[in-house]
Amino acid sequence: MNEIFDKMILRIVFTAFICLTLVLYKFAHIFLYPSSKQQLLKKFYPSKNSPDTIHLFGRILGIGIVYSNFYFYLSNGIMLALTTFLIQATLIFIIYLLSIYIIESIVFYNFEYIDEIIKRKNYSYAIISFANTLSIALIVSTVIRASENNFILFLLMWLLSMVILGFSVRSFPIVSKLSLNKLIVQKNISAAFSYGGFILGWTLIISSSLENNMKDYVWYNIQVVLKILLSIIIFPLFRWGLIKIFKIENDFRSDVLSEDGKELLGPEIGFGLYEGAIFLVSCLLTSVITGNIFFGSFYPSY
Amino acid sequence: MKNMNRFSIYALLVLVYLGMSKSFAPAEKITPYIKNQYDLSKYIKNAPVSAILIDYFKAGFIIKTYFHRYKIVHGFTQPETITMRISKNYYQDNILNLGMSLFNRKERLNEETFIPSPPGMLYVDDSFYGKWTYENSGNQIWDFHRGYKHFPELFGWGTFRPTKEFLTQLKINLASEKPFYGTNEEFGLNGTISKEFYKHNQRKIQNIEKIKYHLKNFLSIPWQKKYRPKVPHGNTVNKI
Repeated sequence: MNEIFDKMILRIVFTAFICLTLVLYKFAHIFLYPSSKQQLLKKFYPSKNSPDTIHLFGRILGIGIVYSNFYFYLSNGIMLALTTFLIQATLIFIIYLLSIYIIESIVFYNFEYIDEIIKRKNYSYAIISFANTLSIALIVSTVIRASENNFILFLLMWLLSMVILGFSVRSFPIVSKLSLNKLIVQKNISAAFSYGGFILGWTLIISSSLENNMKDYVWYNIQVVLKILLSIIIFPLFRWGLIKIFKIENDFRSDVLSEDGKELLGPEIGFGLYEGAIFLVSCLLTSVITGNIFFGSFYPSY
Repeated sequence: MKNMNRFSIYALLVLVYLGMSKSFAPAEKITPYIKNQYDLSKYIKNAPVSAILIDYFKAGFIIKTYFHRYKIVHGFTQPETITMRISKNYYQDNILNLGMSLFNRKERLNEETFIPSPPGMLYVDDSFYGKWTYENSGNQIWDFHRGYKHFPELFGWGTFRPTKEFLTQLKINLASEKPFYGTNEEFGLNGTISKEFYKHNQRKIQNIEKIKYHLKNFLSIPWQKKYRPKVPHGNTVNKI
């Protein structure tokens, strides 16, 4: 019974410790993003500014996903377990924040958090930011898993994944009919849904590509690049197939006006949802083709 | 024009992927490729040596890769088994040659023969490996020396022992560059002796067993599982 109580106390201590590292995360966030000082230091009212709530909880959800890959090994004592966790957590949430900074610099290169969220309450910006954060969290958590507790390996794999994610983000205008920057300015959330589906889909592809056996770093990189290349080949086939199978007609219109005819509304939400869902489903199915086909001895090698 | 550009980029991507995969494909790097029987000479070293075709199979969906598995019987060292990727033509040319020796290199002058012949005939009529003895019927049969008593088993001869007549017929066929399957078709795919040694329909039986196993596993009630039988494996036709 003593042992059971002791284990329970330890679990509570670890819970408190994780909360403590979250406080550290909060300050690191303020340090890297001085513009979000108000959001994190003052009391937060979720109903006051919904885009801000989406923005903040995207980050919180992200750190939760990243932390879900941490372990405590108590065989060498509690102090060592806590110290290891603290060092790992600190390094990794810095990397996580840095990743958000890099990706948002690419996507929102001409937008500001203060302008879009605080002043304009822009849902489009908030949803895109949410999708970015979620994608980065998923990728960082995959990198943590794949790097097998080695920080140097983690850094190298993280760099590789960031480069691939950066290219994916830049390729959005090639595959979508929606103009992201223009629609963010118009606060049109159809672009946000489309981009969200696209980036989450590519995150799944990148994550599945990263989960290879790490025997040799060069060989690993080749495998990742090959899987990404294969995904780029398979993805359009699924997208085309889905559109044909479900007889989806391209009714894209960028000139939809408001009821009074004075305001240009941009494309309908339905179009953005369609694009995002098709992107996501195509990527999910692509990851099955690139990662879930086990050839075994179908092609024997001797 | 836009669609044409897209198609070109797509085709380029496919080519880049195939090119990269080809450069880094481990199977193609490891498994040697032979175009015809003459290439065997490059991969099989030493003498005397005999390469017996013990298995052949193809792998792949539409574009097949063809394989030969050889038992390499050396005169003085342990036999070994090697698998090689082969050309389609070479595969088709040798369908009837299962269990036959496709390559022999004699010790003297390193003389090589590439005509399909019954396994182990390289070592027959060489006094170093055995001698001719008389049977009650008056026929002369080949008997290996004590040190090579295991050779008939290696060659899959069973109770068969070559006679002088058998050897003479082989020499005639070799001289006219014709495959020799035995005086009474004992060897090769349809040979009476080879058939016994190489159970050819083993693969079909294995595949049915695999399907049965997976179906049983898929439809079984988890809490009633008492034991998990081993998954039937193996992708070869013959087990020796």
